Amino acid sequence: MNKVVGHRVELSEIATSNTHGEDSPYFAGWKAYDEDPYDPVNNPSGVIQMGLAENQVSFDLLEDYLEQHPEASNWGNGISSFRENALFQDYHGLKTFRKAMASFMEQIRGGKAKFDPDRIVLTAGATAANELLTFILADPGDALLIPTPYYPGFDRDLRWRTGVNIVPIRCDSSNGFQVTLKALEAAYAKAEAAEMKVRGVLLTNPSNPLGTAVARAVLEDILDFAARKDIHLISDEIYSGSVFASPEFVSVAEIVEARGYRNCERVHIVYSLSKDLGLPGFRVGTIYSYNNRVVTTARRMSSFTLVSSQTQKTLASMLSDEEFTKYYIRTNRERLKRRYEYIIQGLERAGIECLQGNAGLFCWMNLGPLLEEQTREGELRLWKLILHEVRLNISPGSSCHCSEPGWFRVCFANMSLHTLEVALTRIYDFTQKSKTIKSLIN
Amino acid sequence: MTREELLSRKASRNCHGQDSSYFLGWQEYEKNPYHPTTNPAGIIQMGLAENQLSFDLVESWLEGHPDAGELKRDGVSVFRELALFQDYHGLPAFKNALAQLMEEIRGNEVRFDPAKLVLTAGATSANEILMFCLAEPGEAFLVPTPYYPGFDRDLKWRTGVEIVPIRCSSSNGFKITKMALNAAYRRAQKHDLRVKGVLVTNPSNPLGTTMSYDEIDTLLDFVASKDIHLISDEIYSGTNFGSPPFISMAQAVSGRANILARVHIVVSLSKDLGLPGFRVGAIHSNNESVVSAATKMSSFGLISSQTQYLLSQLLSDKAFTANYIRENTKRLKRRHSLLVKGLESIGISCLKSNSGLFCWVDMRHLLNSSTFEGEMETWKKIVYDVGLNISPGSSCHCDEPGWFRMCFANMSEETLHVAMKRLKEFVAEGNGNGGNSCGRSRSKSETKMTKWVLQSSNADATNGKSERFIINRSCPDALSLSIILKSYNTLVVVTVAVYATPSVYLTSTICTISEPTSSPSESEEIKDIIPQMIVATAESRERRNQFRCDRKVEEYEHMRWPMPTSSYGERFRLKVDLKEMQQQSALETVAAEMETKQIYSRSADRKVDSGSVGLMWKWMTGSGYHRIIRLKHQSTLA
Repeated sequence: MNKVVGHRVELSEIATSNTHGEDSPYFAGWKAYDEDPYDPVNNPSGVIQMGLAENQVSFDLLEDYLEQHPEASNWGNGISSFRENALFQDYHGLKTFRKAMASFMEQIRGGKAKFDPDRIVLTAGATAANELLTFILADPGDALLIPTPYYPGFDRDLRWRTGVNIVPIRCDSSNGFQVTLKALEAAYAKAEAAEMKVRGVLLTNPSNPLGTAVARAVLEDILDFAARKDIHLISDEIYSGSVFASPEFVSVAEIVEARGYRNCERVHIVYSLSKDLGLPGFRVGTIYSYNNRVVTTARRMSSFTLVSSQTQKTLASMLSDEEFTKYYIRTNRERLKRRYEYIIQGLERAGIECLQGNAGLFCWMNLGPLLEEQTREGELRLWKLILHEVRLNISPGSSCHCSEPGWFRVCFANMSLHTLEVALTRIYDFTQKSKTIKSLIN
Repeated sequence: MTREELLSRKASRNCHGQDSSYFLGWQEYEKNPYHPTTNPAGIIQMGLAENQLSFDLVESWLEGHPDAGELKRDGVSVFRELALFQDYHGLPAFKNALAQLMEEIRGNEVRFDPAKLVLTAGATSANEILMFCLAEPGEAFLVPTPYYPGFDRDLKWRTGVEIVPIRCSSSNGFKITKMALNAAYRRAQKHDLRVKGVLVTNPSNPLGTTMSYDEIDTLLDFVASKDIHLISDEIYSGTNFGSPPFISMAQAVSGRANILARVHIVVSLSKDLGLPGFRVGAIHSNNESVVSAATKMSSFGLISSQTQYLLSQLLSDKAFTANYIRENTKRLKRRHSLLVKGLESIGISCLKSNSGLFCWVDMRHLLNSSTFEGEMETWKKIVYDVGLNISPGSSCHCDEPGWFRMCFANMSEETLHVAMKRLKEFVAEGNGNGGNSCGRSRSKSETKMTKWVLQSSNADATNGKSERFIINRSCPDALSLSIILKSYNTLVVVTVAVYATPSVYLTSTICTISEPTSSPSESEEIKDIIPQMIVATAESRERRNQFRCDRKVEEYEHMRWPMPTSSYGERFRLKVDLKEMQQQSALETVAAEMETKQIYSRSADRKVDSGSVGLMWKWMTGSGYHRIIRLKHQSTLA
């Protein structure tokens, strides 16, 4: 008897809490997909996964590279290189890899920002990078302000183990979900009213789930706001290499440089190779901070989440090849652009509008007109209908804390063009059917 | 907001422990690393528990299996599937192979279910994840001393969990006893820390020993009776090169259904396979909730899929693993005996061990004084003069000065010979000779001390005649001050800890006496010194702004005195309220107290005044980890 009770109470609150958010529709949809995944030949009526922001459009480029450079993934003939590599657990990371990362990040920004390899802290993915920064910048009970809609995983990454709160900066469709000073001030006031100490703003730029890059003027406003309130700005730029159309992406790094590094100690950038290079399995994330103490502390903390030295070595070799990286960045952008245009046109045919996007692996789709009622419940009912009837797993805006019902994130780069075509046909059929039903009712 | 305030408390705090001597020695090594030809006078790294003895085995396997490294299967690229693989359940093939390796290392006497394995980026992360899963901030885990210095970072830093040491001593080969377990538990309780579990390293780092059945039984009984968790960190399980054979907690717990779900095992490939760079650790737990929560948490430190793939290929090759385990332990055994014999020949003995990549070396006789200050002195000589980076026991929170950890598997045999040669010369030069050797043979009559004398720390090295110390060895964040009163046949530890409520008011003080004292007069003296320690501790806390101390010893309700024998090793709560007392008068009170007790400063003719007491506090509360104040027996000053 004692035992049963004991087992309930003996774990930590963190272990038993739901803050990891894995019970939300965002993750529930994944489970539905896992149970019945679409396959063009074996399971043509299965669920198509459109909830996963993966980049599969440029794999062949990486494969070709590895084929031509077997030494990148192996240890060549030099036996001692394996030894050295297997023992390398210095939390500074392989110097060659950090240099290659810095230069890759510069290339992505068109050379408009400089990155010092000694400020690069490596982490096993951006998930860990964001958590690390939260541990370093905020105490339990403090708050970070984040514009909505935001990546559902933040509820886990930023809050779960750190005890930090997220206070949403409410953005809406009236201005294309752009962050305004008014919304920033409102969020700040809200946090203060709840007696939370605001420690920073976290921005994803380009935005996940919106698929838009933040305008320079907005970025300037946010940085000014952070300076005025004496708080941090974390700029999560993991989609920076996936900007495929104008307006051009502006990194906070450019603004920091343009301002002569004034107030730069509050600015921290998160980057990863999971999206731009399509390598989530390799777990490579990085923190780039202009604050020396943050760099030192983050490096020490990175002991909990180091990148495999084998993987560092492979990627150091790949990313040091500038000819290859230039070609990759350009080709990957072209392919994403084509994909984006393809899905937008397909959705248009089905009578669906999207927020005008220029980046990312997804579009932000407005199904508001299809809702029976303009509420979160209405949105989730439609989401379930699409999941179970149309057999598409898309992410409801409410899972991204969107303040308006009816928006959905649809990923387009994690499948073949053929699968995308099937998905678009299903959506078309669905909207046609809805129209018919509506007209019949009316 | 000041710049300091811009960061979190975790970022500002020093709990990562990277400023300790353990890490300082590394820095020295990095500045001047030994190389047989290019830098033969450089420092030899013996502080790094790396296994470099069996790389050739892995290398020749890789040569025979190029596909594994080149991300291919039967010549066809598997890059695409690996690049995308980020399922936190891990590659099934890798988990199966890892579970089998764990079984093989444990003589196939126990089964591991891959579904109960959680993969993590190294054991560092595995241990932290378990802390996050099992304890709240401010709760405690008991850890036997000496322990791996990194635990202060891994277990405490981000989780806010406290480590309460289970004090083990050389008298029984640093074994865990029921008494030590209970003492640690009570100590935690007296600190109002809820104990959530025990964490042991088995085989032990830094001891290099494995736990016996009796020890394990004691531990499991304790865990069962207290209804707490047990984490068995078994990252050195594959290094068990001698008898007695290693017994995994998984084997020991198999017959105990009542605690099966409370025993969690941590493993890694960093030591056994010598692959720390690949960051492969794992948790095995029979507790579904722990597995589920830990799996979700592993998102913060997943293993590269490329590495998982390579290792799944390597570890599924049964011929390879069998040969590796056999050959690796054979080589470790040879190395171990080389070091042990080398040390023996120069009169240095080691704790008898059967595992690990290091020896626990007894250099107590080389210390000028058997204090932690003496240990640091000797350690510095060994690092700077002898050119060996070894780890002092104090960095492992060992309770006895004079023990050092020496690693033997991260260098060539030639380098090990050079290290032995250097050490031999050092000992032959007579360093440390005459240290406390005379002290050990002191007659009993001389141990009957009547008065203590406070002596300013760095004034003079002790002549070894008698040693009385006030030591605050704790990290600057700890709220305690201890004195170790060491006479020739007894070791008495008096610890005073001052408590503050969350609202930063001093509430109470707790005092510990470790052992019965040898004479009534000695215990009287301990009694006398306690009030001073309380004030000194409170003051030092306040100086660090840890709480507001209103500086008045208003009420000092005495403990029962002399203490009943059965209570030794326990803490006694003294009701003390330090309100409204001015700092100057506090100093004067203590000065007067010391005057009355005839406690003098080093210069025998100078009487203690509030100024010198103030100086003493200033010194005591200064920066650094080791703040020691000598107490000298008055007779030795004559």
